[in-house]
Amino acid sequence: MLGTSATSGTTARCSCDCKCSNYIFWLGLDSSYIFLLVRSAVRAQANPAYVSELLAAHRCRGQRELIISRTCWSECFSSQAPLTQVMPSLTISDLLPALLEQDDAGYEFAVPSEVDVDGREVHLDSGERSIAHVLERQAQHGDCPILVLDDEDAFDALFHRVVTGHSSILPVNSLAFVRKLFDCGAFEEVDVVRICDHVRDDLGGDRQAFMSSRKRVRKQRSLDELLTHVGSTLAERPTGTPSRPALRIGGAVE
Amino acid sequence: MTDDHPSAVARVQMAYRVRQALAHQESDVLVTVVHSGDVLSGQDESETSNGDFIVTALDLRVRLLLLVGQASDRLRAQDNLVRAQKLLWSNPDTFACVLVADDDDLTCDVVDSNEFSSRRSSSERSHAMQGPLESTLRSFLQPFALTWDAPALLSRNLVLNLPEVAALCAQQALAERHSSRSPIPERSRARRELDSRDADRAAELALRIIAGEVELSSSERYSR
Repeated sequence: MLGTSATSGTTARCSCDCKCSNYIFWLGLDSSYIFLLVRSAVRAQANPAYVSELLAAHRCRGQRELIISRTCWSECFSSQAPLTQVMPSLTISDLLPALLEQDDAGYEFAVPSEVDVDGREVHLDSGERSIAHVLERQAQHGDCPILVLDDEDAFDALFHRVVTGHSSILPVNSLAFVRKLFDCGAFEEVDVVRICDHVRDDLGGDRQAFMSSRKRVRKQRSLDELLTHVGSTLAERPTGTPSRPALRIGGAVE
Repeated sequence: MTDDHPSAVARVQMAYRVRQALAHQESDVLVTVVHSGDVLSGQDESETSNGDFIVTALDLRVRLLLLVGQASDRLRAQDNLVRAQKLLWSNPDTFACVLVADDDDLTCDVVDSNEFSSRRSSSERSHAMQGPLESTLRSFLQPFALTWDAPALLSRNLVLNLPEVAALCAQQALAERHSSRSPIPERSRARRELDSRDADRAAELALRIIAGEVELSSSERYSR
């Protein structure tokens, strides 16, 4: 049940029409996006239950399947820097109910590791390639899944593959999808602010050394636009709606 | 909170206040939030800011740039003016950029596209171009946003007499039925047999629907 625990801002206001994924009921999550959710939860000193609720909020009350590839799953739990290093109390069982792990055999041959995007060679890592491959298989059954990821370069590469007719999965950037979740009511402003604060820290912290200026500018702009949208939406809500910035934003998580 | 990266809360709160301040503009002034990327359209590649809000009055477009965490003395700072200039260059559809400071009044400064070309000094600038956001923007847009007098018809105290209108409409519908032809004999006969009692019943039904006493299903709507 979303939204009623003390640890979460997520609510049951979700409009339950899968509008946030353009009425598509298959949603692929790259490990970069799951790391983003977990890191933002850690930044807010939340517990694993909050991460579970954030993931559950993506499911449109169970109507939508969240897909993760086996490679992404092992990146989350068996890599050199797993999620448990980010949030020690997190276990596989916290994520497992929400995510549907799928076999990704053969992704090395199906999705290239380098994509030429308008003269720029963009690298796709194994996690991105594997989840793209899994979703491609889904697309062959007639569905056109969406892939949420937190990497602008990977977004460019996968989007380029769609434009050139090599793929039919639609990539969407993490912040763009968070905006849609906020619009449909699955995420509250506190959830958005926590995620944005984490992204902001990344932009100003040590990790920015690994980010190109192009990526940083785009990320910063997406961040600003999302937060402005949240503030503007809150101002347009009728008076008396409980979620006002003064009440809900800035408070401790627990 | 640093100047370069103000906290997420600070931006949300400032956007909230700005949106509230803009809510009281004239009714033909539209306010939208800038959004440059979407699932299907991909992301805008340009590296300059497109601003935070767009205010449109008729075909005049003004973009607001929120200076989150910055006081009003930073409005004429060189780096902010450069940002405004870049915004105007990369968005030629925009007439002016409004820099908004993060203070209680949301003090703003309207930087129009003529400013950079004419090299006006700050002393030559109009006072109407600076001040609290709400009043400054209103006075800036006043020459462009037309205000219309209410149509004379609105000032008349017209009262719709529903029973009278319903009866009139029913009579007209009855006349229409009588005059229409049908190749099906049964239907022609049924139309001919319609009389003023049917018109009265139709008028009564219409009034009950308006009063919310009767609700027709879509199939009934068509069959009747």
